[in-house]
Order: sequence, then C-alpha cells, then structure tokens
Amino acid sequence: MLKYIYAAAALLILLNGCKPKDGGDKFDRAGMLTNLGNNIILPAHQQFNNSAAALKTMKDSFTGNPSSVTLDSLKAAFLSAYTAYMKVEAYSFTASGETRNLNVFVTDTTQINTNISTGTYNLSAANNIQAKGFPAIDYLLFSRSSNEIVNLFTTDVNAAKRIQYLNDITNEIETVSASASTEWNNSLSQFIGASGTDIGSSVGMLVNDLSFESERCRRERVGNSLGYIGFISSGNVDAHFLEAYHSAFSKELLAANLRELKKLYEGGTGNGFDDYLVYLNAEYNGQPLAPAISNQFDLVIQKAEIIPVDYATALTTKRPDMESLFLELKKLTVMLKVDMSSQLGVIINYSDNDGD
Amino acid sequence: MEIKKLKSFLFKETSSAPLIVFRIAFGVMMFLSLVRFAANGWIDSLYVQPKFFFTYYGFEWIKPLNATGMYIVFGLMMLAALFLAAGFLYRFSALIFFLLFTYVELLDKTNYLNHYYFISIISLLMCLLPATKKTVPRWAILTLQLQMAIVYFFAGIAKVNADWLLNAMPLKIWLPTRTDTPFGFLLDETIVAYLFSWCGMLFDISIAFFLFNRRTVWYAYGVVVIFHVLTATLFPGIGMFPFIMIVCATIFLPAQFHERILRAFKFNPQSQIRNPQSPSISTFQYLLVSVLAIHFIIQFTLPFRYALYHNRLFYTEQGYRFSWRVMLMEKAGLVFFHVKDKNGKLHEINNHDFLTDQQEKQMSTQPDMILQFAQFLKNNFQTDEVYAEAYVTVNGKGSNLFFDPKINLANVKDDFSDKKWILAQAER
Repeated sequence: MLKYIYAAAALLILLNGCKPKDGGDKFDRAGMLTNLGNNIILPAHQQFNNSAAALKTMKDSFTGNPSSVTLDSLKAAFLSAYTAYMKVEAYSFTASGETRNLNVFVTDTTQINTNISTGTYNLSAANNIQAKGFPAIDYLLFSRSSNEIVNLFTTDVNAAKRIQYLNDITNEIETVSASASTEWNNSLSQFIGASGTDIGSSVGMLVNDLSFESERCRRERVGNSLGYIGFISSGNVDAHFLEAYHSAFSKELLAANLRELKKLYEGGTGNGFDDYLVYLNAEYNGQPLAPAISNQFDLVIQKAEIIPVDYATALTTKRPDMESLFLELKKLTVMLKVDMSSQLGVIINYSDNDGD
Repeated sequence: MEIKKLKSFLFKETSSAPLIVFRIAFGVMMFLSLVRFAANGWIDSLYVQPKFFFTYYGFEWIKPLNATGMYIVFGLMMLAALFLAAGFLYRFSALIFFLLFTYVELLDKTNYLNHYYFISIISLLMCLLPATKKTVPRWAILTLQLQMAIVYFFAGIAKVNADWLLNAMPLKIWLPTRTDTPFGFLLDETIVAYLFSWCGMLFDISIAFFLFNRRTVWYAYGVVVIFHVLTATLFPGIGMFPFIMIVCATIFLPAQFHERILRAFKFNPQSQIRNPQSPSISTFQYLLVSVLAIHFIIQFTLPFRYALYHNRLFYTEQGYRFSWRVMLMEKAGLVFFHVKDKNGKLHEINNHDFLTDQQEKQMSTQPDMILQFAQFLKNNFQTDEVYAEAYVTVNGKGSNLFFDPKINLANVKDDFSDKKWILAQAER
C-alpha cells in the first residue's frame, strides 16, 4: 500500500520534470488576462481619460464665457465622460480604485452648496465623497433650467466660487482618469502575471469586481429608488436615489455599465470568463453555465433599455418594468456571485482568514 | 484475564520522551500560530470589529470582551502556550490555554475550523496527561495517538460519498484553479482530480493503522508529511492545519527517536524504565483513564449524529461541525433578507450593515446561521416578519433556492430538531 503511494508520489515528481511541449488544449488564463487587459480594460481607461480631458476643455470654455451655448457643449461633454466612466468603474484595483469615489451617489447637495459658499473644502475628505465627481456636476449643470444655471455662474453672488468649485471637481476627474490610465499602462504586465485564482490574483479581482458591479446595478442603480432596500427611504419610490437624477441619464448609464460588464465577461472577440467556464464544463442546473450568464446579461440590458421613458418617470408610470429589471439584475448577481465564483474557485468578499 | 491484560497494557510505564517532545512542539506551534493570528490583524477583524456574533447553541452567554480585553486574552494565551512548551506550571498552563482558546472559539461560529476544534481537544487532553514526568503510563501517549487517529479516520469516512468518489467533487473544481502551483500543469486533468480524491480518502482512512504499526510507522510518517505538504501547497487558504498535523503526528514515532531529539537539545530524558511492571496504580489514574474513556466514546459517536437527520447533510449541515469534515465541499451562497415594517411593507436588508464580509459569507451557506441572523433582525427592527431569499450551490451543481422564501423566519427557532424546511436540492 505505502509502496504504491510512494511510487505515485515519485511519478508525480518525475512528471513535473517533463512539462508538456505546448499549451495543448489547456485554458490559458494569462492569455485571457492579456486579452482583457489589452483589448478591454486599457482602451476603456484611455477612452475615459480622453473624454475627461474633453470635459475639462468644455468646462474651461464654459467658465470663460458662461452662456447657454457653452453650457450645452459642456453638458454633452459631461454625459459622454460619464458614459465613458461607466466602462472603467468595474476595475477597482490599482489606481482606478480611486475612480469609484468619483461616482458616489445620492448627491449631497447641501454639502455642495456649503462648500461653494464657504470656498474652503478638501475634496479627498470623507464628508465630501457625495459632493464631488459626476453626481456633483450632474447637480451643478442640470438641476435647473439652462438660463438659471448660466445665471448661477454669472450674476449669482457665489458665481465666482461656483466656477471655482466646478473647476476643482472637474479637474479632479481628469487627474484621476489620467493617473488610472497611466497606472494601467504600467501595471499591465503585473496584471497578466498574476494569473492564479487565489486572493490577490487578477482573476480573483475581476470576478469580485463583476459581482460587485452587478450588485451595485441591482441595489444602487435600480433597487434604492424603488424603495426596496433597507430603511434608507420610507419604502416608497424615490427618484432622488437614481444615478444622474438631474440629467435623467440613469438608463443610458446603467446600460453602458452592463454592456461593459458583459464585454469583460465575454472578453470581446478574444477569451473571457465565458470561455473559461466552457473549458471547465461549468454547469447551471443541468445546463452549461457560460451561455446562461451571457443570456442573462442580454436580458438585463434589454430590460434596462426597453423602458421608453427616463427612470424617474418610469418609477411612477412603468413601475412593473422597473421591478422586473430589478429581479433580473438579482438573478445576474446570483449567477456571478454564487455560480461563477464557485466554479472558478474564487473567494468573494475575501477577508484574509484561514479555512478548512 | 482479559481485563488484566488490558490493564498491564494501558498502565505499563514507558518513556515520556514522545509526550515531552509533543508538549514542546505543540506549545511552540500554538505560540507561533497565535503570533501569526495577531500579526494578520485577525483579533481585531474577527473579535473586535463585528457588531453581531453567531454564538453556539447553549453558549449564547459567551460574549466577547472589549478590544483591550480581547488582546489581553490572546496575550495570556501566548504566555500559556510558552509555559506549556517549557513545562512550567504545566497542567495549569494547559488548562488556561484550553479555557482561553475554547472561549475565543465559542464566540462566533463564523470562525469554526476543524483544526481549531482539534486544538481545543488536544489542549484539554494535555491537562490530563503527565507530560513532564520522566516516565509515563502508556495510556498517556495512547490518548494523543488515538485522538490523531480519530481525526484522520473520520475525515476519511466523510469522503466516502458519491460526490467525492464518483464525481471527484469538489477537487474537480478546486484543482484546475491551482495550475500556477508546482505540478500545476497536471491539475486540470480530470483523472488527477479522481486520483487525488481516491488517494485522499484511502490515506485518511488507513494512515492511522500504518502509524500504529511499528514496522510501517516511519513510512507512514513520510506519507503524512508528503500529504500535508501537498495540501498546504495546493490550498494555502487552510493556513496552519497541515503543519500542526505534521508536528502532532510525531507522537506515533518510536520513543528512541524522541529521546535522541531531547538529547540533541541537552534535555536528559530517562530512557531506562526502572520498574516496567508498575504495580501501584493510583485511584487518580483510574479516574483519569475513565474520563478519557468517556471522551473517546463521545468522539466516536459525535460524527455519526448526522444520521439522526434527513440525509441532505451538505445542504442542512445538521451534524456537520465537530465531525472532521475537512475540505469536503465547494459551497457558495447569497441571501437577501427582507423585514416587514409597521406599515406592512417589506424592506431588503443590507447584510453588510450588520455583518463583516467573513460573517456574511459563512452565514449565507449555513442554515443555522441564517436563522440566528433572522432572529437578530427580528429584534433589531422590532418586527414579526423576517424572510430570506437564499441561493446556494454545492459542488458546482448550480445555484438554487435554499428554502421557501415565504417562510417567516421570525417564527423559526434554531435548535437541534430536523430542519425539514430546507429544500431537497441534493436529491436532484
């Protein structure tokens, strides 16, 4: 008996000595990471950085000459930068961890107005996390009619301070986007190199990020405004909980975010997590898991976009559609957080701890 | 006649060297583990940060101290571990170590690990063993050997199930994720998952017999080392467990080996047994042996208690703990809790508002913890209705509802009765 166990051990050691000549039909995790890094994550950051730079330019031309014309251009640049941001929000690690702080809503409008009137604030401070980034610009540019907004930046007593605040929060977006993009450029090889599945590996991080973002869509982008979650609201629908409430751009942002998550999951035209799950023969109640997740992505994207009005309106007029979207997002979250992570052996919400 | 034989076998004086080496190694190992535990910040994250603790049934009165108190507990535990190693105030130190360690383990189910349970048992046993004497009766060494054997044997028979042997689950999921380790290129071969499953089962079931046999003990110990080093390499998440087992299994090695070790460290163990017959056996010794006999009867029974329940062990986990079911399944889950407010409206709870990541993760797959949290929510929100929509997947079968989400968990008490409301996913 023991002899055989030793023989088996010796055989394993011998086998380790002669690696196979080529990858064969093995799944190449590093290859998948190369694809995701080069073709999806890096371009998304470059695009975000470009649109953040364009936002900054349009902001400068608006603050230099506030008018409804320059405001319109600025608004367009803002929506395009916000959409581009949706594509990088998922990638929490490296410098882009800071990027998530650019989109913490519900907007704290009281804090924003206090910051403007006092003129002293530290944007990195915790109490300003809901008073900066995209939600703050959304409020500053969209909360009133164009004429009123222009007045706030020209004739209002706090006009100069408001211009300064817009400068600071817009510039911060550009700075963070630039440093995230640079850091991604520099750490790409490290990202591809961490090709295990343990804690700290790139696969581990991405699976956690997919789960996190999917849950954020369910909870924060849809659930909160429906009055479903916690005791944060009276339990009634409340459009103020929507992302981009003032610009009424919630639907477009949600769709952009989900499309990017799907792209990350499928790896575009190259290898992604779906190919990995196919390779592992991962099952979902007797069916292959990989297409089940792809289909669920398609379903939530369709449900997000099919609502014919903006979400604030839909909360009252198309409530069943919003609820249905919420339920499908829940299914997606379960698939990513429970099924995919379990099949890939990735620990979700890992806390550094022993197990057995 | 037979009784007499047994008596002379159990009470025969032998060299205490194996016990002394065990005591020193165990004490040092515990000290290092505690230092690692503290250095990783786990005292804070597991016992200071949580706002809610998942207590064990019947031990709800065990409460954590404040931060300073918890650090003092761990400090005293480290000191007791060192005293244990040094043989200073030996029995008292062992008792203090046992009490403090077990106190900490009883604070929160979230942190249950088989090897923590093992440490509690070993330290309790050590209170009863004369591990500083020059010679000891054979039962003293046999006690530790038997306890080790139980761990391996029950871990082995737990692996005798269809998923483990016929589907190579969960190793078929776990091994392919470890292709970045040595031998990694082999690990996504299905045949390797089957090989590891069967070898693991055979190893666990049989190894104690080879360790007990004087002719095979050294080979068997070699296999023990290979096995645990392999598991430590493949599953770094299991922490200290493999190393603790490698150290503790030395109790099976011949006494001459331990004497050589002690001599190398300038200890002077007594190898000559002056009176091998050892005629006078004190009443105290009889008492100790009787207590140990009861202990082992419990040890042999406890792992079978699951048979009292429906056989959906991996879902209900009734009788799962304290049974040496080590790395037996890949289970993941997610629970959405809803509570009804005074106006009759349901609200989803953000679990993270009350639980740490680790607590939420453990709770989401274990029904008794789900019930405990539901009761907490009931009290916290002063509500009579708490519902949970729970999804769970076991060994990659696919996520499914854990139980009927319409069950009002506010009315379900957690006790040892059969949790019949858990859906029969496993029977698919």
